[in-house]
Amino acid sequence: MEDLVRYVRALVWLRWRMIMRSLARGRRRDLLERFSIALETIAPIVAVIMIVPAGLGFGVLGFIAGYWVGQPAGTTVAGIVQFILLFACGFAVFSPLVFPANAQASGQLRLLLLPIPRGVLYAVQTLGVLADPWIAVIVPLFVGVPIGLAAAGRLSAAFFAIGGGVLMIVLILGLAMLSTAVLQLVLRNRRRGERAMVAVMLAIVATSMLPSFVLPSLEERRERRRLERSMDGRGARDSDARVARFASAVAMALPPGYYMRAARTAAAGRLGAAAGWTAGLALAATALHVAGWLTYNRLLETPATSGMRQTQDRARSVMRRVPGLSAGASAVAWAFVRLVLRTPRGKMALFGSILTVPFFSVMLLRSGEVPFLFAALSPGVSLAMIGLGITLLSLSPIALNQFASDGAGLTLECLSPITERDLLMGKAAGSAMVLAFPAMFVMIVAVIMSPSMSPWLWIALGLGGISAYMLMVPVNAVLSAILPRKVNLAGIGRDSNAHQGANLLGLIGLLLAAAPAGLAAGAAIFWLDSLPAAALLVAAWAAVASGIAWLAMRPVATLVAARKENLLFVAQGR
Amino acid sequence: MPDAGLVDKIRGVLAVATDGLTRKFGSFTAVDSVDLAVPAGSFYGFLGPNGAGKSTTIKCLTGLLRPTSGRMTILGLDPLDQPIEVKKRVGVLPEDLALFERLSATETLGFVGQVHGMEPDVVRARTQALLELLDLAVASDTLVADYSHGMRKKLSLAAALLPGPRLLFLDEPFEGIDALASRQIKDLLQSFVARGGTIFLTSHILEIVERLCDHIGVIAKGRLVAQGPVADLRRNAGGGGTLEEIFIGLVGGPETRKTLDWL
Repeated sequence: MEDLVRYVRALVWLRWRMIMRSLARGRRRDLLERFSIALETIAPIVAVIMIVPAGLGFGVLGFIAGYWVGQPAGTTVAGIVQFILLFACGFAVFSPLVFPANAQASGQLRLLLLPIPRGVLYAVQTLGVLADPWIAVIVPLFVGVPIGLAAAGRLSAAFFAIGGGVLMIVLILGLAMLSTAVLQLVLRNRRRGERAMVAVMLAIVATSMLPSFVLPSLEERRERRRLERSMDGRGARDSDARVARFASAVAMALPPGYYMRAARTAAAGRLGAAAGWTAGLALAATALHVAGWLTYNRLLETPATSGMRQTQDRARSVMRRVPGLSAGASAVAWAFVRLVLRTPRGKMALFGSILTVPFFSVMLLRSGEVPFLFAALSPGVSLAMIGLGITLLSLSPIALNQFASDGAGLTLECLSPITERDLLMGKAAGSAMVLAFPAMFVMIVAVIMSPSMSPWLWIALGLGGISAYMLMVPVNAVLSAILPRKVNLAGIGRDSNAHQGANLLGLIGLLLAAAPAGLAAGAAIFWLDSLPAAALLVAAWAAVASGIAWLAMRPVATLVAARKENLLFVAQGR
Repeated sequence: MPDAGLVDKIRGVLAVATDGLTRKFGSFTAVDSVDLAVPAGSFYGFLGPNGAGKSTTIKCLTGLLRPTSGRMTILGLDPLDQPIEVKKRVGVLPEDLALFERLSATETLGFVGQVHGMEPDVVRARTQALLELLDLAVASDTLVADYSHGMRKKLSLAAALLPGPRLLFLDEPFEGIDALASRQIKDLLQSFVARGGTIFLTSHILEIVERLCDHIGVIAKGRLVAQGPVADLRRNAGGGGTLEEIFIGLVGGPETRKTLDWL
């Protein structure tokens, strides 16, 4: 026991020191860089501050659920509690995907070299999951339920709720550990891990679209309500009740259902049944931890491999010069394209935006589902506007961190005989080459959806997208230079994102960059009632935007030159 | 030590010359008034304990860091005024190896060739020759992300050599390299110097430095404590002695050997 306390104390100290060190100023960081780090640090602190009231709210909710358990008034509250617990279980499964799992894995390897038994390591790592604020926030809920039961005079039920609460926490921790260990085991092979990451993300995007394909549209729902009113609604309500019963049965078959049933049956005085449900919960928690422990052990014994990836002999394509660019800028552009196409994060940027097009197409084709702003437009035009916006945003993780995302490659670029202007031109051209394919896809689908629209309108939309992109070129470069972030583009989690400040400013920048073209087209259509005039005006604006981007290159290049040292330090992870 | 203004006098004779080169990080001085004089055609070993300022000096000389003060001349050019011209003539194997993780060896060398404005046929021929010489031909189309540390180092060296530079800056080229590859690299570097090239090399392996280098500079706590031909340094140190003894004498090793009784 003394050893266990010592290990826990050492690992807690380690975690604390690492947090503190990440806040301390490095001697090589300039003022802007420290500001950038501070911005990154403040975000989680703000999140924690917001989580405290949420935790208190869950505590109160638990109290109400406990107080009213077994009574008709408490049914809805109990349902909410059960939903929250189901959500927590789901989050425990998916959270390792969005947290830097690679870093955790390397940390574990280091810890393995210390004289700490594996069992203790597993236990400490399991307890560490409680530090995840999204898990910690639901703990007050398990405190609130027994207090509520006790306040209602159901002391035996309160005892069952305490035991059930502890088991639920243990179960959620087991779920998180199993999920983390499985993910890290997959990631042990770099290539396999990257494929899995892309597959999971595409699956998540596809699943999120499912309701728009399966659920009835707004118009269909209106029709059903009209039927309900005319036929007294019996048939429709029966079908709704069947769906509700099925969902409830599924929810009750899962561990959060055991927890609520244990509390409810104990409150009703059926202590035997309550013990049965609690035993079921204990069994589920044990099974998860056994699976988690076995996977964790396997993880520790599995060496990391790369899963060698061979490329084709592409020397010819490397040497190909991009029209209008210098040899150096062309080389930078091709390197950028390959970075995007060969990293999970880059692939997600490319394919994610393509995948959202069918979703919006279906949504826009189903009447009544169109967002307010696009209600007056044809589905194709709406799709083109939304799709182009998403396409421009999709590359943000790399475009808004275009220097640091090169890693050590940035050093090679800085050692090469190319100017900062060539570097910027290359990055801009590379982004354009990557974005061209999804943008074309969006436009083609949009034209197919609304074939009767004037070609002038499509020209205006395309040019509007180009003008927004041109204005974003210097904005992206400036944000990348002043708010760089060391990223791991091999993952898809938080550590593959651009700086949060850059993301926010980039989004605002994109809205502002897109506005003039929209206003120009809108003005031509509203006052002149002429689509060719709209296309002409937007074309003129696109030319102006290109000129602005061209003129901005010189001051931006000066800024990049001034920030080069810091960019190199950040890219190297110092 | 060269006096102030010496850089001007010896321009054209020295491949690398600095005059009071200083680099500070806040209040910390990493490189303190260093006056380097690296003769053209020499194999110059730049030695120093960990944290002495070797890598920072190389970063200043190669344009990755801007000196806080002082002057520099690389192959007769000022790297601050003519950075592109200097980079065209210089090859660098930096501390972080400077490689794109998501390019293959062939693509990496293609990138370097393209930014140097080389003809595609020349790049292809040199790429093949370098990859074969450095035993990387079998992995020429494998991503750098899948390379071992030694393979990365060899590829970074190939990238430095590809444009045919006149001056090479090599930061710890033998660290993490196996004996066979180390031998190949040594032969390659010696033939480079024999053909008139200049090498500025840092290494912790004093035996290699002693065998390869004809000139040596020693830096400690950011200051250059000795510089010159190896024979001169040996003579100044009292005649005999190994480079290790000279080095320890210069950087101020412990006077008495401490022992750990409990070990």
